[in-house]
Amino acid sequence: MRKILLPLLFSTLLFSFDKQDVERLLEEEVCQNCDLSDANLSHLDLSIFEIQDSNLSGVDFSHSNLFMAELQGSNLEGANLENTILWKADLTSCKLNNVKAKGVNLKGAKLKKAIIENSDLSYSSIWKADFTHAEIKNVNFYNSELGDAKFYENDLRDSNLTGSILYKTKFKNTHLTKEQYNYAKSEEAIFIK
Amino acid sequence: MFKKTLLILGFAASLFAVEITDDMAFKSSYLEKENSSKTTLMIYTTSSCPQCSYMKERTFKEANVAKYLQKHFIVLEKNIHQDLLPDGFEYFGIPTIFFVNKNGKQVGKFVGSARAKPFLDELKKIRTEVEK
Repeated sequence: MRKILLPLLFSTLLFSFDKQDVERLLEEEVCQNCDLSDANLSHLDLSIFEIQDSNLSGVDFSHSNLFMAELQGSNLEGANLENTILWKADLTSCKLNNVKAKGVNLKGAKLKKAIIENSDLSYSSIWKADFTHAEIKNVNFYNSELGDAKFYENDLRDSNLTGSILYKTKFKNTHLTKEQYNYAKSEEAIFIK
Repeated sequence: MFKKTLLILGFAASLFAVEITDDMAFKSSYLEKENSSKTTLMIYTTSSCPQCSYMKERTFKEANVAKYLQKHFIVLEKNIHQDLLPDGFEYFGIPTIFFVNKNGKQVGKFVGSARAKPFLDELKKIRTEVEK
């Protein structure tokens, strides 16, 4: 009996996602309100897929292409987004806590009202991304390219902007430390009143 | 699915639009450098591309990069929406920089932007490749 129960228990522990949801996603390219938590979706072409309001916590999207994917309202807590292409993806109102996203491509991505906490977005391409009203806490933007990105109504004081490109980056009602402000000015950032 | 089809059609249309063989500006760059050992750096841009202006206004103008470019490269800019583009130089993202040797052969490609130091390293790498 124990021999039967043990593999079952392990399979539940290893795959917390709904297998049917994963199959549906890969077949139909659309999966809303799905449970894909902890699924391995790395090295895949998921461009223009629609995965809104879904549980994507712990998903491994590393090296996958999610160009223009629609992920609004999804929970990506603890997801692996290292070297993932999220160019022009819609991440509005997504949860991005404890995300590993070193080298991610978020060019032109929509991150309005997203919650991004304790995450590593270093060495990333984030040109023209829109962070309006995003809750940003303790995010590592070290050496990332944030040129022309929009930071409206944010607090970046406990985030790391060291070495980042802030060329034409737009700040409006955003809290910055004095050091961050001076650095942004030297990078030709734009401060909108 | 419909969106994907539209997108593919859009890309196909734009690829067809740039299929031009006679580009005097491109050819003249070779005539100009006929007696020169310089490599051509051809950057594809658009007017609404902040990364392109960063490369042109910041990276290319940084003292060490500017000096190196002047010594070893002929810089050519192509606005993909306004200029005629030569055949055989495929791009997806903008900016894309092509490095072309004196025979018109692509010897390197750089996509995106970079700060002066890593870009200078890239230029030196290309230079070494060309001199081999």
